[in-house]
Amino acid sequence: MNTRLRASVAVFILSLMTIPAFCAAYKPASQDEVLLHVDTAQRQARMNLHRTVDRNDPQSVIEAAGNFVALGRAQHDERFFGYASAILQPWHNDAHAPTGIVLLHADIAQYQHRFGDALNTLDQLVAREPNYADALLMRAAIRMSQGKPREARQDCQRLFSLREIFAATVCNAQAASLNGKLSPSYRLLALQIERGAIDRQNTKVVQQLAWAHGVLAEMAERLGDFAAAERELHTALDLSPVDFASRLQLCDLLLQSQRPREALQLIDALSPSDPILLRRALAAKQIADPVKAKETLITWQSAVERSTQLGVTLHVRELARGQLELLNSPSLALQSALVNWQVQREAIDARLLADAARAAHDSAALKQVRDWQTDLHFEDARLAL
Amino acid sequence: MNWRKIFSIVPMFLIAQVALAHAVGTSYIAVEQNSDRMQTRVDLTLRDLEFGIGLDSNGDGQITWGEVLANSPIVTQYIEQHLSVSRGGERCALGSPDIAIDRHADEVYAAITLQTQCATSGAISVQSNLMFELDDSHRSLLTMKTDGSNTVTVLTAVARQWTETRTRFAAWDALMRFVGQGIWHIWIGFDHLAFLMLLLLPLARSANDVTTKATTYTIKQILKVVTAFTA
Repeated sequence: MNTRLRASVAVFILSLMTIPAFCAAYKPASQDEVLLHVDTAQRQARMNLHRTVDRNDPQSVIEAAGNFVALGRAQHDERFFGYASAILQPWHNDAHAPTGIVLLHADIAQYQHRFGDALNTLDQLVAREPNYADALLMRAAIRMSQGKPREARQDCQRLFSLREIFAATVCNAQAASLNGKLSPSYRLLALQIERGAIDRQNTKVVQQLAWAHGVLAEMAERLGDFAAAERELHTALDLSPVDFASRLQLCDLLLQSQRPREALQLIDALSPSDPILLRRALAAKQIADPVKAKETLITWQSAVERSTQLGVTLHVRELARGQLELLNSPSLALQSALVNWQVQREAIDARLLADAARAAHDSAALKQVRDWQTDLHFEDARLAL
Repeated sequence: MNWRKIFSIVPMFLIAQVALAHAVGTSYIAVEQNSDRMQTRVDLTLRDLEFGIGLDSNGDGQITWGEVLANSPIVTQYIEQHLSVSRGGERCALGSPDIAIDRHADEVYAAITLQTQCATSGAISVQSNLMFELDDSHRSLLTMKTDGSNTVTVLTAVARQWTETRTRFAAWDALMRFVGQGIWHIWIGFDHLAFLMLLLLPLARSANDVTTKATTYTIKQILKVVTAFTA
């Protein structure tokens, strides 16, 4: 019996232990008892659904689905992406779907961590519309997150000829910084940001600038200038308070510099998604409050359990980090970090794999990171191999 | 909102965006058979019901128990239109609804129990369209309790139907269904030990070059973690 089959059987035997978890339902004593507060995003979603959407009119579909995607991005809530995807359903696998709809398919796929699907969709889209700036930028972003800055740079370069000068500059600088030119890219981008006039009324300009500050912060971190990184992230969040990625990045920076209370404050108001619960548990561990540490650990564990039950793709990077830093299990963390390495290869993923490999005394895994680093001339002050 | 405006902004986020998994909308369906009585229970989040049907009748941003009760006929109608339980190829009659409140994973659910009249014999089949036409990522956890045996499966937008297989391989088929979806570990109701073994073992086994020695080491490591949790 091969190992995979044996594992299946082990899982199967465990499945027999299942006891369905239906708790006792109850009837509230008073009709006035408030059971749920409907937030603004939910109200907007309902309005968006009930606004007349002509499912045969691409423009109308793009508008409705685009609104859901924007809501999902701001709320970090998968449900809104599910709503968008449901509206786009008639165009699934349609080679002649309007380009705006195909781009939304790709965007939803990358958000749901189906990078392969997203890239295939974008490849086809770019083949149809070689000058589609948004598609090129999205493909560059995914390629960079997969540790392929050289391929990403080809897309970034093409943005110049499409007159998306600022986006092209940030995209190029980021790609170059991942490919042996960290210091010059940092200086160039900092200069470009400094020179750029800020029109705060122009949403596009503000969002692009917030993104640029986030990219600059990531470069500063790799240069080992954590104070600059912190400054840049604060600026990014001032410009775009809903920028989830920058908030998590800053939270991690604070945890790294042993400032758990500030880290907690930063994510206090956010809904308890898996990454937030992980960071709450990490902060509680640093504060050395054993009761809170255990409580937050169990909460994180339950959230991972729920995602697993539902068959939702787990964010393996987060799982590996939890296994390494919360469960103190280098061997498991290494297995997860290796799985993650096949999906994402950002600086944070490289460090995670290196840390887990070192903790588990696995020189072969460490060599994987080292070879990748050498090949790309990848620079990171914290990635000392 | 102008869609061109959204488009010009959204992809710009992508460069910095780290895609993260979040809890998806989830409903629970339980079909239970006790000797000659059958009942079906459907748990839908108030959030999903508010989105799809609308519960906040007075629009004050709060959903009260009174509003849930007042809207229960529409909720029941929605369930009857979108959920089909059948036996031996004949659709069962769902009736006498009873509504209550429950919680799963910190979300508030309306729990609707329906008496279920079916043919006396044949395989039970469940087809659910609940929420799927509104939310592509929705998951329904279906529990079948018949004569002391439990089956739990997950229904998704692309796999909306489940049929009882009355063979000794029924459980194996259920397992294969999970494996087919690339998700082995989606049963509910595990104690933590079973869950952790389930969660950690497949991950640990995913490397192809695991030697016997390393496997033993991995399992020991898993057990260490598992016992740390369950102690």
